[in-house]
Amino acid sequence: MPMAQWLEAYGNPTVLATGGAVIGGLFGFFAQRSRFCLRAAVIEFWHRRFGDKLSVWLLAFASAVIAVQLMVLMDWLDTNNARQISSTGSLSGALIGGLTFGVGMVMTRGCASRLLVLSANGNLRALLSGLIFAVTAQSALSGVLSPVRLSISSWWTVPGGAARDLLAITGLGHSAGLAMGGVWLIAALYFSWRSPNRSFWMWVGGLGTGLMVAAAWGFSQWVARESFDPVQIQGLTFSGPSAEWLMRVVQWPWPPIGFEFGLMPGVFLGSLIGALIGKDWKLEGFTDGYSMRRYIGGAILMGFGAMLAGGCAVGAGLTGGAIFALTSWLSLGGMWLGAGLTDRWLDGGSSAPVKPSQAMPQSGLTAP
Amino acid sequence: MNLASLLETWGDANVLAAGGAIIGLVFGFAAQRTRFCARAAVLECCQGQAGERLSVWLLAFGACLLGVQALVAMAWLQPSVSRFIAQPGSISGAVLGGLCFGAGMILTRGCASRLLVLSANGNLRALLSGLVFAVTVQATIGGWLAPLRNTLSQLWPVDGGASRDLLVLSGVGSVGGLLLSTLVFVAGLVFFLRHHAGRWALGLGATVTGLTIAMGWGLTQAVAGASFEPVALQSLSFSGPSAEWLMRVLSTAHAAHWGFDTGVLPGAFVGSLIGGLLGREFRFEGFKTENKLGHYLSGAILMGFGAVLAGGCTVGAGMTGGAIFALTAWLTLISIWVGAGMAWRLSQSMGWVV
Repeated sequence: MPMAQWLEAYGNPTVLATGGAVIGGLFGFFAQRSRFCLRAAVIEFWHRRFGDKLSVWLLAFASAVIAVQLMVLMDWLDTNNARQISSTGSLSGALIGGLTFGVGMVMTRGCASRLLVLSANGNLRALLSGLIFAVTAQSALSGVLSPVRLSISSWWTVPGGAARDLLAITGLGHSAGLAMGGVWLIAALYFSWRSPNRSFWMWVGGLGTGLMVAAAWGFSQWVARESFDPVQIQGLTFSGPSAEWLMRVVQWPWPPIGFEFGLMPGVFLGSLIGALIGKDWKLEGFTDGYSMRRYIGGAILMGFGAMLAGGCAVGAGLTGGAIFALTSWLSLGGMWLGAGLTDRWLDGGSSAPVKPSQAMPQSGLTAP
Repeated sequence: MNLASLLETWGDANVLAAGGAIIGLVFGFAAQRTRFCARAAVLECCQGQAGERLSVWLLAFGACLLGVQALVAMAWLQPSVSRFIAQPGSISGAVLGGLCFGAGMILTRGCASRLLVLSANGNLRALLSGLVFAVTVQATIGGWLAPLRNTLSQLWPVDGGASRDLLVLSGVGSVGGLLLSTLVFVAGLVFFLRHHAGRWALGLGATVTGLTIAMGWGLTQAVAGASFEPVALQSLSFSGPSAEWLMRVLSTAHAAHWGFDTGVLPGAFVGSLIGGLLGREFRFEGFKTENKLGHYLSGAILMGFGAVLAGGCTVGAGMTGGAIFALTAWLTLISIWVGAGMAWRLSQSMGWVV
């Protein structure tokens, strides 16, 4: 087992950061290639157009669930130690945060991970929205917005342990979790087969994106098992790391590095490589005042919502969803609902008012 | 009303913050109404059409010099204690920082204070550039860019005290300073009247803009004199306060204590907002063409780094420091003009539209 030797030679922080960079790099590459995007999937869903965006998201989700549950069944991963299950959570925070995040995601035309992926493709709108997202997330974590977040979270809390584990609450075991993953995978394959725009990258990218979410869980568990120091197992998420990176930029000395330190630059690089290979790289900015207001407002809502819900579309939706954490599922439901309502209210339930030049490139206007 | 009892009731920090807010409000309002802008003034010079905007800036600058030097002459202000003169500074930092700042303000279409005034009028370009500016300022003060700033500052340091005081260095003394300031003000006034004959309100606005700098110096000196605690002498600046506010928003644990700077930023914002509403100039505005965003981003980063390296923005170094004849402040001001001029020339020769 080389992990013990690596940990001894380089130390926990370096190994964790390197792992974060490698897994993040692959995630960024696959997500860029498959145009993985929760926002686009949700909009397709609400428009009852089960097309390629929804297929990609379902492929990723199903593969994450299957891989994580397989690891649990093979005793490679103990999800009970995950922060999303072991610590006290907040149902009110998950619901309201998820709704807020969903609203923001439709306004900025991309969730947190999508903004990072697009920034690396030369999209300066996404870069600036990402900066505002990070500022708001950090502010909600420990700045002026944190009292608001804490008070909303305290409305309805849930103790850590079995009460946060959906598989334990329902009495179903991990085999049932695996079976559910299988059902979604079949649905995903069916939709993607029917999709007119199906392509190689849609399949490989979607599956790869989900597998990277599972790989993050597996990797941190591997480190935790081999290390003498306690290591928190964790998966991919983007709200915490972007806030952490912002503080790194504005503050000296740095806090200790870890998995999240490598994640952000890894995803950026992976997406950049994907864009260069696919010739998607293009410098892009804003076109008018209306869209700027929309992006700024959306990024603020998304940053606050992510911290309140305990994760972004990937952090709560995929990472927490794959281990069947109750709060993550509530957040994910909130995101679907918030995004659907906002799409109806803001864009009139149709994607028509968005001019192609204003939209995030390839982020999926639902019109064929 | 007695300042000492006011300080006792409310505490130094709150009095300073309230004073900063009021002075900031006056500055924001006056600067908004007069469209006070160092960038526009530099551009007019570059284009050989010196007049409209330059005269407003020059009149404000003259009023600022005269107001501050009058305070000094009446012994209400001791500039030698302020950080601009008492503490060690950097010649290289002032020159390089000024050049960066000048180039940056051409790209962002406004210096730091102008960005704040414009954001309060609904200009989202300015708001976003301001955010990037604040992040860069904080990164340069205490983050990633701090080592680079230190290296550049240490290329040519200068001791605190007489060697940073232009009036002592040149030997003209405080009387000379007062005379010189009067001269600049009269020249500014004459120049202003030649271009804006009969526009008394505009002239008054520009004068008030300049005088707010003197008000800031006067207030902090008065508080320093009446308080038992040490109080730093200072006046309006926009780089430090924006970083301070950024950190206050980001992390309660890292927030600075309240002070003069705390009030300046919200004060100026509200002042400009009132001005914009009264003048019916409030309008949401974003980017018109796609390719400008890169200019704004790089300009805001240059400006943020330059402001910290130089020890202030056009207002913080140029006017606040310039009015007490600090050597580095004048070097910064000149470098800002040179940097802005060079950046403009370069953009012209390259065919970029800024």
